[in-house]
Amino acid sequence: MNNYAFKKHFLSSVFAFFALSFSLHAITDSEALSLLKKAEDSTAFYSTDFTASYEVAQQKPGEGRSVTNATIYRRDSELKWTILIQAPLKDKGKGYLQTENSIWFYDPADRRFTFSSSKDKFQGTNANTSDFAPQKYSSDYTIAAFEETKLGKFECVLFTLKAKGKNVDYPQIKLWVTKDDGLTRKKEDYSLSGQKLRTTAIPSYQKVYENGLPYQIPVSMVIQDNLKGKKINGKMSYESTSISISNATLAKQDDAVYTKPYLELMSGK
Amino acid sequence: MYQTKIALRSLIYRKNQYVSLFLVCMFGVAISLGAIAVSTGMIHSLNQKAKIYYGGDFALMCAKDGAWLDMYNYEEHLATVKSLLPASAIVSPRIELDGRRGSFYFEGVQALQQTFKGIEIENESPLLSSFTFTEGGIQNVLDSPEQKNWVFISLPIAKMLGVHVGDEITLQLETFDNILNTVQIEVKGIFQDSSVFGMYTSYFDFNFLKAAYSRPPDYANRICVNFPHENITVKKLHAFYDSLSKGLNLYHWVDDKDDFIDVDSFKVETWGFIPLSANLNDVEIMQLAMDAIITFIVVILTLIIIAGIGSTYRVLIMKRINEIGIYMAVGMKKSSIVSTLLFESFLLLLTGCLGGIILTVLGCSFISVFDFSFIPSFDMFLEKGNLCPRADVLKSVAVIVSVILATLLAVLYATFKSIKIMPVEALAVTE
Repeated sequence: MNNYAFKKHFLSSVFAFFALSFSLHAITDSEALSLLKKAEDSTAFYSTDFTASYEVAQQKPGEGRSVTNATIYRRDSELKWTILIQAPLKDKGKGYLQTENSIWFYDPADRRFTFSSSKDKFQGTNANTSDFAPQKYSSDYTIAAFEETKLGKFECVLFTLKAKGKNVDYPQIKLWVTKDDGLTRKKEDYSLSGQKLRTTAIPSYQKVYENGLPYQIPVSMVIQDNLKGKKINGKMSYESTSISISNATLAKQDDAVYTKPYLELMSGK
Repeated sequence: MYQTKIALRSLIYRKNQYVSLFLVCMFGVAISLGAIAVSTGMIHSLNQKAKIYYGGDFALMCAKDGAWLDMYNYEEHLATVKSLLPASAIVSPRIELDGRRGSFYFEGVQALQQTFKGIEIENESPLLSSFTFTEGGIQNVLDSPEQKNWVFISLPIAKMLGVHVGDEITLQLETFDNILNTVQIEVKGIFQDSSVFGMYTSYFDFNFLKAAYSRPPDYANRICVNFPHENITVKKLHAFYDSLSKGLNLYHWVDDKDDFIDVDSFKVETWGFIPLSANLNDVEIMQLAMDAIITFIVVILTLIIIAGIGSTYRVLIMKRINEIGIYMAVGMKKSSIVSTLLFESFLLLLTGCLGGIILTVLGCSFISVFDFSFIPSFDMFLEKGNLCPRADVLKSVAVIVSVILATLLAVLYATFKSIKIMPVEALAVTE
């Protein structure tokens, strides 16, 4: 009887071991690629337009906080977006427009559109204008390495990505993507020489539904600049920008929203 | 000659009357020569800084469809250029980049830049020796030849960043294909007195900057030629142009750099011969303005001297009509009387001009002690923060000769009028 009990226990243990092993199997290349594509797709809305209110708050060490409020309209299927600044008063009416692969900045003070770039900073903050557009993690980058890791309470895959071409903001990025939902939790942007330039954290997401389908939109993002800052009391403090997203809706907007006349019209109001 | 004795004696005897005329002449000449010396010194400083900025007496740029202002196999071209120029020429490659999308960072502080220049310091040290370094310098780099990640930055930028020589800063730039890159560099020199020619310009090692910009090792975009300690005239430049055209396909002579750079297309590799003056068209307007102002000042002062001395001398001669009558009565010829009076005024003017020269030297020495770098954008005219007046012998001699000749003519007119009087009438005049 003892022999039988031992064999039963032994076989149970072996079975449990293999079952556990299967559930903890290392992520494969194709799975990693698929997860990365999922992370990319989660930043875009190809079937509808996206509209939301953004509060962009920049903290400069030793200088206080400056807040910009903007409304953003996106039509990712046509690579168009419009940003209309609502506050502060001195910047109200200014706007950005991406259309036909060009980004324009509009200033109602001189009623002029000037050419801008996705690499340009948004209103002097640490956010690039490209941060408000879909992210091309798998389209513009190749996976140089990936590993499974833990980021706080999240089980993530850490991707090290290198740019495929030159039409990117940063030649190298590191991306933490949660395994279960394919959402980006953290991003680090690097220069060509491998120096860290920015760190972006996305602590939480909100669900917004469109035709019954849920879309995950960040509640907030915090971008820390790893170059700009100030030394205070002998300790280095870096500039940061936090972006809070609210009133997010997924519904088609009028085509006119993505045109220059719309920016000119809205800036006058 | 007795006229000389009479003139000299009269000058000494009437020194109290002539003091004011002497002072007018002296100060007028001193201010004129001083203005010329200061402006010449300012222009010289400006040109020296421009020479450092643009790489020497002239530069060669290469353009071809598909490789506009890009030069590959630069060493081969360098050898060709050297073979066609005199041995005294220092020929050096450079890479010059638009730094407007680049920045320096130090402890979180950002400083924007305009231009990045990659240089071979071993070749360009004679040119850079006229840089005014407040910290570090060329020797700092030459002492550690294996270290390539060095930079010379301007004093205003160093103050903005809060850096000193030895500090490591981050350079952020976009490579030639618009990829964001950063490199760590050590500040090896901080220079001043550059203003438009260097405040937002930094100097790096030629190969280091090239690598940071992701250009191949055989790349350059300029070949700079400098003749240290030689005054290169326009005639010499034309001679060099003719010599280089034997080995290179040179574009025609340009007086403005943009005449070459703005050409629509070059089907074959074409070289632009860019003399220093062709880069300075905007600055030349400033130089012309300065010359005009100085000329105006000198002319006004000369007129003051002529009018002042001429009119005063006329009064003085009228007062001496009795004396002139005596000269006529004792048989002195009218020409002798004229020459005596003219020689007297000549001596007065000569001593006045000599006094003016001495005063100019003293004044220029005094003015060169002061630090004028507090004046915004003025430091391109300074050396080590000071004005360095320089003598322009030709202009100075012209001013002195003009003053003397013009005043003598005025005196001559007054003298001629006075000797027309009859001796009896002259003697009858009571003072």
